[in-house]
Formats: sequence, structure tokens, C-alpha cells
Amino acid sequence: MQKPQPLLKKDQQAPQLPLYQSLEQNLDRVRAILGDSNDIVIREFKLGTKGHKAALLFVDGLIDKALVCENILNAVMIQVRQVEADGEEQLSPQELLTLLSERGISMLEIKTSDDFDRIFLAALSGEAILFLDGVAKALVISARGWEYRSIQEPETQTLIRGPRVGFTETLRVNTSLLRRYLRDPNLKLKTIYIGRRSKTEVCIAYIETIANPTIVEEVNKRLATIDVDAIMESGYIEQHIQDDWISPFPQLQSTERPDHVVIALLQGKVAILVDNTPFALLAPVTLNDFFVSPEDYYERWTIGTLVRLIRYLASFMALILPALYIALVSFHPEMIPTKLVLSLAAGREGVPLSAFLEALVMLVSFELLREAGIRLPGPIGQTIGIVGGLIVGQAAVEASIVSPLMIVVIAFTGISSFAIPTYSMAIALRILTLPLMFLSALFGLYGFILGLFLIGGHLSALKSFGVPFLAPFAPLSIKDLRDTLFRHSLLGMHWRPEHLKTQDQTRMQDLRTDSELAVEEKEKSLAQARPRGGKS
Amino acid sequence: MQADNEQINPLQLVLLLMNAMIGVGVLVVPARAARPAGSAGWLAVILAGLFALVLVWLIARLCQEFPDKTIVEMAIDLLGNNMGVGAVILLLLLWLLSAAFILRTFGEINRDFLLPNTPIEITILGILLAGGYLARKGIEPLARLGQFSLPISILLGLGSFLLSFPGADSTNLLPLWGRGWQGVLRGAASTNFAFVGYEVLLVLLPFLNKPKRAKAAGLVAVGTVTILYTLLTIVCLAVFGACSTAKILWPTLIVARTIELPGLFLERIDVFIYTVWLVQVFLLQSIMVYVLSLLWARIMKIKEHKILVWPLVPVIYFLALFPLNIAQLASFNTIASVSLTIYVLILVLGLSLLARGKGGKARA
Amino acid sequence: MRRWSLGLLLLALVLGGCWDQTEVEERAYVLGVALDVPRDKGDRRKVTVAMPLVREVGAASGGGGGNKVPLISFDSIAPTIQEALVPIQNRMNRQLFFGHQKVLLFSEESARRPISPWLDFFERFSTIPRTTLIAVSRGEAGKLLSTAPPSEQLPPLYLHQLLMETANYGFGPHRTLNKLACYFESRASGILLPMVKEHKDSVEVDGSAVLKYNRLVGTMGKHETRGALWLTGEVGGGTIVTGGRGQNKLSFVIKSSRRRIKPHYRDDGITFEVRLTVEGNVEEYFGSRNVMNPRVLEQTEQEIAQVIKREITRAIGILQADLRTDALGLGMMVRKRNPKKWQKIGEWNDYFAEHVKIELAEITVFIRRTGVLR
Repeated sequence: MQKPQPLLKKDQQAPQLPLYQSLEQNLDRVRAILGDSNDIVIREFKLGTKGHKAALLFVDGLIDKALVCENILNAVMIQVRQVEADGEEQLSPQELLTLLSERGISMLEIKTSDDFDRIFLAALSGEAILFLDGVAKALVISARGWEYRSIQEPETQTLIRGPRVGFTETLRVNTSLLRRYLRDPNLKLKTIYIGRRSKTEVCIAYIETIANPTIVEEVNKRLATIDVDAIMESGYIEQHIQDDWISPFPQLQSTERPDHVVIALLQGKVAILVDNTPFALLAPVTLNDFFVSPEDYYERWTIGTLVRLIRYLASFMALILPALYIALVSFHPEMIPTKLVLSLAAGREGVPLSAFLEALVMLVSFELLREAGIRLPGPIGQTIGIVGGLIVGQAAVEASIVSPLMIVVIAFTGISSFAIPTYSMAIALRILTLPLMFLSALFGLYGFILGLFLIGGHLSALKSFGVPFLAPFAPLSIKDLRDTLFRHSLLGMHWRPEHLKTQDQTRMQDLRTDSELAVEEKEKSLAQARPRGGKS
Repeated sequence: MQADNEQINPLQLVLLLMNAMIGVGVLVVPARAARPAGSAGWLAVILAGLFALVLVWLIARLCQEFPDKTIVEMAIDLLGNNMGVGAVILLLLLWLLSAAFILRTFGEINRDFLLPNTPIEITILGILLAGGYLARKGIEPLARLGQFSLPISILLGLGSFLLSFPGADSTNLLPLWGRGWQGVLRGAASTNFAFVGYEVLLVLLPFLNKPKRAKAAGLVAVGTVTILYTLLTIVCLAVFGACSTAKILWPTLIVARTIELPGLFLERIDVFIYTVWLVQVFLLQSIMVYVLSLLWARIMKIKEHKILVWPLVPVIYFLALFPLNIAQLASFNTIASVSLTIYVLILVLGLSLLARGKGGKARA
Repeated sequence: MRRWSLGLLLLALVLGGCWDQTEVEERAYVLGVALDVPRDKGDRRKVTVAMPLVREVGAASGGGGGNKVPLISFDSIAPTIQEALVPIQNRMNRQLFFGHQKVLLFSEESARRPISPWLDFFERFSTIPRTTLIAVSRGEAGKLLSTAPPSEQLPPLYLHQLLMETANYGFGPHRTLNKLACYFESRASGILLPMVKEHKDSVEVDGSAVLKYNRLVGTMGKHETRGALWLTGEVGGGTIVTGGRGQNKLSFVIKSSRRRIKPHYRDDGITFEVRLTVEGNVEEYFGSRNVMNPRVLEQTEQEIAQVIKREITRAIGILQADLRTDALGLGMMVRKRNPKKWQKIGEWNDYFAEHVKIELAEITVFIRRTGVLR
């Protein structure tokens, strides 16, 4: 395998292919490498009364045309005319270039470059390149502007209460969304390019005074090892840098919501934003993070707690229900209440399949219906879900292929898996249902517990960027438990999660007591104790 | 991932020790106590617990002298290479036997209650493989899993038992002295089997990130287990009376079957008890496999214990299949556990004395 | 390589079959077992097992109630239960499953012979719930097992519920397999078991059977049973009617009762001092007096106490004089509290009959509520 190529950082200068002095030669080279594509435009023009030859290189469709015309072409052509018209001596090409960049072009970002690699990358990213005859340098002018989706609420993560804002496919828009929430100068956004052919812009975001530097370093290190052709989506990056590729559990969290990212950053996590996808990655994550939605914090704590508990319950049910059913029904019917056992037996009278196969058939059909519902457009898809569920299920019962209770069990399992806020976690649990069912079908309750134990063991050993996956349940941190199954009142959440080992532990004061006396006391003790260290 | 930097905190140590003790013993404690001691069985349990407390304290004290060493290095240090290795090998063998017979006991109970027709070879193999899988991952995941599951286990288990109180007759705990103090003593000796497990501290101390807390951790662990066992015995005695408790092989599980809650959906609470108990046994086996492989690795001076896990599994497996029937098994259990405890006592006391002796010179 | 072998192992497991898997409809759920003495007497018993016809149960609950009772019983005669089950299982395509057994019935005749050996099967086999209720039947137990009014679907379940409900009333005590097993194990002197009998097409709890050690030695009627159960503290419901034959009949419904027994050791015997406290409500009154009048209340309470006293005295008379059996647990009390004295006493039942006096020191009745009428 080849050694991974070093990535190009934005400001890195490593000239491989220097520019020529002659415009003609530069343009020849450009045409040779960038070739016959119709959308690559070279606009040649002359400047000033002396007719300096110049050319503008850009990719049609990636630039903001109006801006380029107004602020580059127009400005340049006029400005130089004025300078040289005053009768001064002819400027040297170098001086002309400097003049243009310092006083002529009224665009926001201008850099100089003498390296073709950098220039091509810039041009293909939507910058405009200005070549001048006689100078072995070119101006790289930021002129990006292309069609992108407007900011809408993300479809996969809708909230009842909260901003209806989601990331889009343009990195710059996404970073701007982050900045809107955090006007903290410590919010750092570092960009790198990943992918040999795609050279996708990837931005690492973190709050410098909060995030643990070890974690940031680890993220950087892992990103540097990625050597692929192209990064299509953040998922590619996720799969390259995760700790354990075999595990069904996700070790990074993906989200479309900027507020979710910001909450994570404030906890001390690192976010990875990728161009061309609205899904950002968050690392490190723990099991609990997959059951948390930003909405929990926007509503009051009683609601947040209730919803969290429901989610945990749902995920538990989604995982164990079919397997538990199989274990009890096929192996230990003495543990089921008598009346239920008798009606169960009655229901299963004509069914030819064993409980395990019955469950398997129903599960597979359910998944088929679900997939079909996703593929079909709009209302047809939803109808299929309902039609499939009700009618086909009913028909199956009457044809004695499955028993009625099995339908209930599978329906509950399916619905429970929908209640889990993160898709990747829901999938993980759905996947794990199968081996659990298999073990239950072989060994009953013993097999069921064996399966759970193996899953538990796997989870205990799983780490995400050095953070144990089961934190804060294990290693135990009672403080942090307040934000897991229950959602503590915001007034009392004045620390950051312990497992992230952040630099600044205190978010705010503990505001739970609201008697005036207590507030006075606090102010007094604050004044005495200043400056506070990193203790909560 | 590196296994050398693994650390556990005192709370995790407490839970690990408890996990290493509560496995199969929890099911037989009331029976073993009630048979010689009668209605004073719970006193026998307390007595056995006190003895275990003393022993764990001695172990912790010894280990604290050598905070970075497992028993292997300690023995070699104090007894010289040959004798030290020999002493530890004997410990390893006793532990091995103990673990194997406990595994077999689990297999028998499983066969009685859950899977009457499944060959015991398969169920034992299942646990061993699961235990091996977890043991390979190191002490931290084990500690985390234990931390995660033990509180739930205790809550569910204890809760279920407290539900049987309405059916209990507290006068069954009379007469207070049962069959007399000799009965209590014999009961304590017999119950010792259920306490075996805390000796893993000999191997685990180097991983503790606050070595000074070892004594406290050990005492808390053994103390909690003692309280649990005592409560359990009291409940069993109250529900069954001393004679029945002695006759039933696994009173703990049967007590669960006597709980009747007519209004509740679940008529049979014993599902929870089984679940909890199964998890405990799995965890126990993982810890035992880990400890054994670690010990072996240290004896052979191998750095990674992981590679010794799979070779160890068949050894335990075949040892577990050795007893012919459950009667033999019961006596093997007693012999193995008593030998282990006595040997540990001798070893610890011996090493402690030697450590005192060398104390003056070694600290230089 | 490792993956292949793992896969092969799993395949082998699956193909080899799941040894314990029996589908829920492949089992025959035994809901009740009855033991009778067969015509030729002797050591064998006729074992009857009652199982529901599952298809009928399902259809009936869905469709709205058929008239036929969906129960099927098999019986066979053999020296042990296990042997009796063999021909039964031979006739069934489903596996007999005792995990939901609700009742165990002994016929009166079979109870006159030692019954503890017959319990071993149910104790040893751990799937059988220890909460199975045990009763003695007047007449054929096997037949009783299938008797139930038409409104009830499954007779064993009906019987179980019946026994649970009426246990409180004091006419027939609540005895589970667990209690009986512990009784036998502790070698206590005697115990009461509920008696049931057929009453038209339903079952009635009809007092108790007195077991001395291992056998039935006699029976007691409903009120006599209650008399004994006052002393064991098992009365928590039921009705007492006072007022004799006159116009002042009053129905007192018992809500709870507490008893305290204290043994006093004399040289020539033991006196058990009993204090009983009963609470309840007045729920019916034929007379015209003002029930809320304190004097009237007090008088009524006295009358009720008298009724209770009569019941208890009668029960003690039967147990001490006629049957010479301590089914009240008094012996266990002495054994637990005073083991030394217990050692000196030889045969407890004889001692109980001759040297034990039960003194009803105090019977206090509290009428708590009288309803909305004066």
C-alpha cells in the first residue's frame, strides 16, 4: 500500500509546479491539465493603455458571476486605466500585480500563489485566478457562489420546539450557522482537505478553552491517516476514524442540526463538518448521547425526563422483546401467567412455524415494509406502511401463519425502534435483535441472558476516542447521571461531563436555590473565592 | 489498545470483588447454613462473613505493602524464585479447581431450573466462551460491566425477595440458637464456600488507582455480601422453616417461586431472579478466567494475558466435567473451597510475616 | 479459518436441534391433579390429571361462550405418581407440563393413609409451583376436579380461585404445597387442610380435614374450622350472625382479627392464654334498636364475642378430646420458644390432649362501622 499523501492545509506552501512568467505558457499549461471541459473558462483581456495581457481563470457554475464581473473585471479594467492614464511610467508587471491586489480588486479575499497545484485546487473550488503576463505569480481571488439548498428544518431530526434550522451542503454556510450560536473567540474552526481526487474541505470545530487537547489531537491524528479517492459524505470519514469497525454501535454521532453541534461543543466535544453534506460528526460519544435530543433541554425538566425515560424503555424493548418472547414461549412457559399461556397456546394452534421462525418471518416482513415505504414517494409510501401493517398482518393471522400475539410483539418492537432519536443507534439495536433471537431460540432464557451479556461486555470495552462508551454509567459518575435517564433542571447543570475531562469544568453557577439570602451568600462566597480554578 | 495502563477505581474494585463472590454461592447459602445450624443459620452466615472480613483485611494489608505487584511477584520476592513460583502455582491450581466446580454447579442448576434437556457440556461451554471473550478485553471492561450490572442485580434481586415477606413467618427464626453453637460453627464452615472470591484481590490490587483504599474496598465488599447473604438466609428461614431450608438444594430460587402477587401481571417473579442470577454467573466466570489467565501470565512472565485465555478455557472445561454427579460435586465444592481458603490464609500470613521481617532492609 | 469453524459450530447447533424447545401449543398444561384410592384399596392411587382443551378455550373466549366445559381429564392407577403418568403420557401427543398446576386434591379416603410420600413428586420437580393449593375432597377427588358451574370455563382454575377467596372467611384454610411441605419436613404435630365437596354443579368449601402427622383423622365443619382458625390467626373475613332466633338478628362482617397466645408453663401442663381482637362492620340488622347507641354497640360486641367463644370452644373440644391432635401450631410454638421443655415432653399430641389447657382470656370485638343507617 502506498504511504498516505500529506494533506494540503489551507496555508501550506509546497510549490511543485511553479508558474511561468509568460502568460502564454501559463495558459497553455492550464489548458493542458484542465483540458477540454466546457465549464472551465479562461477570460483573456488587456489592462490599461499599455495593454498588459492578463487572463482570468474560473469555473463556470462555481463562481458568483455578478461579483466577478463587477469587482474583478470591472474594477481591474478601470483601475489600471486610471493609473497609467496619469502619465506615470509604465508599471512593471510585478508592481502591477501588487497594485491590483492592494488597490484594484475589491473582493474580500485575495492571496498570491506561484504553484499550479494550489491554483488548480483553488480554481476547482470556485476561486477566480488572475494571471498577469510577465509575473510568475497569480492572484487567487475568492469568488465562490453556487446553487445551494436554502436553510430548512432537517427532515431526519424534527423537533416540536427549537430552531427550524439545519445544515446545508455548503461548508461555509454550516460554519456560519455555528458562529451564530457561539460568538466566542475561542471557537476554532480548522479546515483541512481530505481525499486525493475530491480534496473535500473538512472543518474541525472545537472550543479551545474547553475541549481536552488530547481528544482534539487524536481527532486530528486520525483524520490525517485517511487516504482515499474521495470523501462523498461524512459517513466515509466516520468509518475511517472510528475505534471499532466491527461493532454495530456507532462511535461517532452524526447530526444535521447546528444547535445539536453547539451543545456538544459546549460539553467539550469536537465536531467535524464536511463539505457537500449536511451531516456533521461529533466525537467522542457515549451511549447516553444517542438518547439525547436538543429538544430535551428546550422544554422543562419534567418533560425532558419523561421523554428520556421513554426513549430508554423503547430502546430496551426494541432490543429484547422478540427474543424474550421466544425464550419464554418456547422454553419457559411456566413464567407466563396461566391465562395468557392458555390464550397463547390457543392462538398458536394452527401455526406451522416455531416461535422463532414466526418471529423471524414477521420481523423480516416488517423490515421489508419499512424499506418499501422509504423508497416509494410521498403518500404512497405511508399508505403502504399502514396497509401492510394492518391488513397483511390480519390476513397472516387468519391464514394461521402467525399468532396474534406475535403481531403485537413485532409491532411494539418496530414502534419502539422508531422512538430512538438517533437512526444509527436504532439500526444497531435492530441488528442486534437477530442474534439475540437466535440465542433465545437455542437456549431459552439462558441464551437470552448470554446474548445480553455479550452485548454488555462489548459495550463495556468499547471506547470512542479514548472515552469509555458506557460513561457515565460506568465508570460511575453520579454527577453526570443527572443528565442521562433523567434530565436535571437546567439551573443545576453547572458542570461539564466528567468523562470528557474538559479544561473548564464550570458552565455557570448553581442556580437552584432562589431565596434571596442564598443568592447573597453565593455572591459573597464568589467574591471571596475568586479566581476559581477548574473545579465545579 | 494497551492493557498495561488499565486502572480501576475503588468503587469498581468493590463491585468486582462482590461479583467474584456472588455467583453460585448465593443459591446455596441458606441450605448450607441451615443444615448444621437450624434456625440459627443466619448467625452462621454472619460468622462466616466475619471470618471472610478478617481474611480480606489481611490480604489487603499484605497487598498494600507491594502496591505494584500481584501475588506472583510478591511470592517470588519473599520466598525466592523456586519456592515463590511453587507457592503461586499451588494457588493457581486451587483457584482453577474452584472455578471449574463452580462452573459445573452452575451447569447443574441451569439444568434443573431452565434447560432440563440441553446437554450440560453445551451450557458450560457457552459461559466459558462468553467469559473468555470478556476476559480477553482486560480488567477495565470487566469492571465497567460489573459496575453497570451489579447495582441493578442487587436491586432486582433484593426487591424480589422483600416481596416474599407477606408469606414469611418470623417465628421460624426461633429458637435463636438453633441447634446450638456447634451447629452454628459448622454452618459457618459450610457457608464459607459462598464467600470464596475475594481472594482475587491478591491479583487485582496493582490495577487500583488508589492503593490506600484497598482495605476499605475489601471490607465494604465482603461486608455488603455478608449482609446480603444474611438477609437472604433470614428470608428463606422465615418462609420455609429451618427443616425445609436444609432439605431444599437451592432455596434461593425456590423462595422466588413462592412469591405470589395475584394482582400483578407477572405471577412469577422468578424470571427476574433467574435473569439477575445468570448475569452474575457470567460475570463471575469472566472474572475468574481473567484472574486465572493473568496469574498464569505473570508466572510465565508473559506480558499479555490475552493469549493465555483460550488455552485456559479447555482446561477449565474438562475439569468442570470431571465430577460424575451432583453429590460428588457438592463434596468437591466444599473440599476445593475449604482448601483454597485455608491455603490463602497460610500464604497471606506467611508472606506477611516475611514482609515484616524483610521490612527493615527492603525499604532502603 | 476461525470464522469457518465458528460457522460450522453454529450450524451444527441449529441442525442438532434445540433440546429444550417445546412450543407453547405442544404442551399439555396440567391444571389440577387429584388422588383417589381405587376400588381395590391397597397401595395404589388413582391419579387424575386435568388439562384444558386449548382450542376450545380460545374459541370460546373469542366467540362468546360455549356450553361445553373445555376440560379433558385422564386418569390411571399406579403405586407412584410418576408411574401413573406414564400411561397418561402415552395417550397424549402433547408433553405433560406441570408448570401451571393450580390445585392438588386428595380424596378423603386417600388422605386417611399417609400422604407425605405423594407430595414428593410435586416438591422435587421444581417447575411445579409451590403455590399450588391443596385440599381434601369429600367423595371422589377426580370427579370434583372437573366440576364447575357453567359460567366458569376451567374447573381447576375455578377451584383455585374458590379456595383463594374463601380462605379468608375461615371456613377452609389456605394451604399451599409449600406450607404442607414445610409442615411435613418439620415433623409438626398436625395441620388443617380445607375440605371441598360437590354442591349441585359447583364446589363448596366445607370445613377442614384434620391431619395428625401424616393422616387424616377427622373432619370439622365450617364453624368448627373457623373456631380453630381464630386461634391460628387466619380469619380475615366472613360473617357472624347474632341475635338468636329473635327479631334482632344482626350480621357482623369481620374485617380483621389478631390473636396473641402466650404459653404459661405449669408443673402439670401448659396453659395457653389467648387474647383475640376482632374488628368488623355491621352490615345487616333486623331489629329496631339504634345501632349507633354506644350501649347497644357494646352489647352487640359482647354477643359477637360469645359466638366466637362458642366456636372456639367447640373446635378445641373436637381437637383435644375427640381427635387428640394439635392442628393449631401450639406445639411448634413451644418447640421454638422453649426447646428444653419440648425435649422433656414426649408425644406432643397426647400431651396436648391431656395436659394442655387453652384459656380464652380475652375476646375483644370492635364494631367499626355500621353503615349509613342508624
